[in-house]
Amino acid sequence: MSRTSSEARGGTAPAWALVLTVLLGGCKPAEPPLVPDPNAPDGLVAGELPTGSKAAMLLAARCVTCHSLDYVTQQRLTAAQWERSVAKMIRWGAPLDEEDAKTLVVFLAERWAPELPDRAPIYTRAPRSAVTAP
Amino acid sequence: MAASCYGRAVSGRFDRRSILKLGAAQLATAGALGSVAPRSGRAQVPGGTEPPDGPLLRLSARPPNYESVRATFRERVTPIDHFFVRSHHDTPSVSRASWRLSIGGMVGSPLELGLTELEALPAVEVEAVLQCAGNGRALFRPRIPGVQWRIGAMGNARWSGVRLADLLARARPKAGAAWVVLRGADRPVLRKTPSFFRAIPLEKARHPDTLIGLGMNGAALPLDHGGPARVVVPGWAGDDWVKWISRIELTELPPEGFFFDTAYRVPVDAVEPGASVPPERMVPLTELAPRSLIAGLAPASGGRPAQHDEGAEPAWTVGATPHVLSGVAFSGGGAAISAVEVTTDGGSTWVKAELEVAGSPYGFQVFRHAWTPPGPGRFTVAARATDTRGRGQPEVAAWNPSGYLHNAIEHLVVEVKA
Repeated sequence: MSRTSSEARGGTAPAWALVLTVLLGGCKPAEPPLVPDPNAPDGLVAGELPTGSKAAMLLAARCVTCHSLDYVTQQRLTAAQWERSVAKMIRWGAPLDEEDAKTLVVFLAERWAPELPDRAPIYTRAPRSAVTAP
Repeated sequence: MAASCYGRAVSGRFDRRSILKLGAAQLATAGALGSVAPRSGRAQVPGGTEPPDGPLLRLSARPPNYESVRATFRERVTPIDHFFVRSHHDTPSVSRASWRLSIGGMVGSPLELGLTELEALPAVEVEAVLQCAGNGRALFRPRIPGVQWRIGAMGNARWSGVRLADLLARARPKAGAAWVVLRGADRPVLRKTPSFFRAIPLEKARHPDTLIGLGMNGAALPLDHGGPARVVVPGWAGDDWVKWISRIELTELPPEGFFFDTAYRVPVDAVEPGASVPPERMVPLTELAPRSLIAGLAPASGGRPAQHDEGAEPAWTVGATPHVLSGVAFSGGGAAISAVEVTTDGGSTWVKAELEVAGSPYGFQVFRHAWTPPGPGRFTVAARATDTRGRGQPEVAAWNPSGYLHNAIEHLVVEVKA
């Protein structure tokens, strides 16, 4: 069974997600400079992060403001369910116009469909379980 | 109200220093483990199995959502660093010194308390299972959007704190107050995203086992588990156990907002899988349902438990020697587990498992069953729990639109080698 690397070795998702947000958020670059870390725990299906498409750029730039991409890649949904999920995210403030939403729904429904096997388990240590408030 | 009460008073008052000391001791332990562990990323799981990179499965890094691995459930009390983490928003920055809990709305004496004042109130401890409402969502068909919990969004801890009833008595609820709205310090990233909150009936808030929790397993409540203070509602699903509790408001009417009027609701009657249910046929989720989980198989002679990869088949591979199959069961609403039955022949025969002494009717009930496989082959094993109210587990979980309270009997395959 394939597994992604542990958090101890890979950088944490928020760090690269933040960089991408800073790089891409708010502006529309002509070329999507999406360079995923192959060890990033948010690798999409079996470690393949599709690059170069508008949808991939939207995912990396707009969705990660609020949640890491593993929130998306663990889902196994029909096109109708993806459409409702994206609409909910827009109601909740996701900066996506109608065209963006359509692009994203097609992209998500093609990849994270109900027929896809479950994501391989990602074993990790407790995030900060022993940390108490200062 | 003549509520039964399982929480036990612990010696007089909260000794903040002793709790902090325990917290520091635990930190030291974690640090010591960390000094040897990180290179291989291995960590010890109760019972001795070692998942390759740690004792939790990450579902999402942000907000933090992690589930416990199956081997965790060999033990009655779940250690903090093996305990699942569920958050709706990012973990807030809070400090013990500036922490405030306010109580307002329909009360005669609005209150604002710091941690020192909370810790000066009579201390109580309750052992109880915290289970995310959505534990098992990934097992429903058709699929349901949301965090894809499989089996490990549950844990049993000793929760210490003060009775919410004691705080409410000081605030003096006004006649007509019926709901207690619970808000934490966590906030969404975007303004348009609804903030998480919950509400419980005043009667449940006044139950002697409903706490403002300040400690977990003898340590100060860790940040990711809602520290310095969270709500503890034994017997009810985890959504009401609001983390980083900072504002309590009494109201006459149930509150409006996504996390009460839409989320954490279940259909009043059985629905077809995949059906959409009109809002007027949905009610707030409250009590947990009976559930059991086989944690693993270990040689009866002692020795290393069989390795397990979640979701893999066979679940375990063992030799045809005497083994002990063990796990945990629990129910909701304060109903204890009265029996756990085990089958090792695919459901043809069920045998009562041996039950350990339980710590609390709200907690895990550990069960064990001695089994010597009759020979090589594949065997389907399963466990089913019955609670003191006579409720059991279904063969197929009741599908509901948000995927809550999956409690179907789980059938797992054991491969026995010659």
